[in-house]
Amino acid sequence: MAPSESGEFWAPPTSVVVRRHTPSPGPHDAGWQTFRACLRWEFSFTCVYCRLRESDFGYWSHVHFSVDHLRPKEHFQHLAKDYDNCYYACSPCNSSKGDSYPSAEEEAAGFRFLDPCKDVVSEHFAMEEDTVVAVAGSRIAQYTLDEVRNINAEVPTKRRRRRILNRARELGELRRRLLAAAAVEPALVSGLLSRIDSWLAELKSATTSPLPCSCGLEQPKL
Amino acid sequence: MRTFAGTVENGSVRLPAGAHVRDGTEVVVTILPHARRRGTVAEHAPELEAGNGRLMEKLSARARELRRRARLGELVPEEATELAELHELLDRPTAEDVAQLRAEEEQDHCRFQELLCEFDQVMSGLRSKANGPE
Repeated sequence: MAPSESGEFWAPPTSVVVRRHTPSPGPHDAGWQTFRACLRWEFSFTCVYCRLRESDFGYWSHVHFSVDHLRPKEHFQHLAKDYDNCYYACSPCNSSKGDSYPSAEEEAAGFRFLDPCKDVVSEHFAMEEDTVVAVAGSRIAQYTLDEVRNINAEVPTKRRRRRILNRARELGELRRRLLAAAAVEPALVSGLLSRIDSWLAELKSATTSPLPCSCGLEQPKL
Repeated sequence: MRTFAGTVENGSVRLPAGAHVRDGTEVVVTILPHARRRGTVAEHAPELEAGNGRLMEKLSARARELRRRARLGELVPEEATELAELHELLDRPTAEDVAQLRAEEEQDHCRFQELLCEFDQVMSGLRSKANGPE
């Protein structure tokens, strides 16, 4: 499969994430857990490391995601409940990252985790089919791929490939059925196509009303 | 029977202070597999597959330290081999991962069949509308 084909479904973001929510932490020790709902919206229901979406994990997929502390709470206790230190990650990436954090020498040499709120992901990562690769010379990408080893582990790679193959299979099958119908009843298919267009228009207008996050903040129009 | 956690120094076992063992007492030393430097893949794989979280943490910490040294250009060839072995071990999918992946594939298949059913229903609806009386 050509890289461009997979990129269509899995292109690394070309802009930084600008946080819009300002939730308060819960009073309990693990007060950062209350950030979870907002983080899902901030990071588009996507793991900031492997870029897999909740929908890639099947039913009840959100249970496979958790709050990640970019600066690990084990080393930066004062940042444990700091919203700006919290990110949305799938649990395998989160546990693979663990309490990793670059040493002072490594930071001086330019090695650190990619921060999607400060770094443009596409400047550091690229896709080669179903594998995430570091853009040449990016020590940030090298460090992130090194320390979040789950990014290119067997299971997430299979998930990425499956997503691409499923989309291709679904579109191919629907197209085949439409063409088969067109051979018998061309008028019907042209009607169906215009119907699909009107459904899409309806869908668009339905999603223009902003959806609220559980913190009460209205979301931007889709 | 009491168990003491000792350390190996220059090939001898050093017991912690307070471990009252008289001179001449025969002791049994159990060497944990992860304390060995070589042959880690074959020895640890079954334990990790069984979900030994503590062993996983220890091996991950060791791998992390070796990676740090590698980035700073301090890794010796022997350590590079050890790191490769550790990665081979740690990057293996667990039985749980494999089961989850299989479940997802089945769900995808069901979802796709549902999509096709919906599509066919729409088509037959349109067909009957086109052929039926006005």
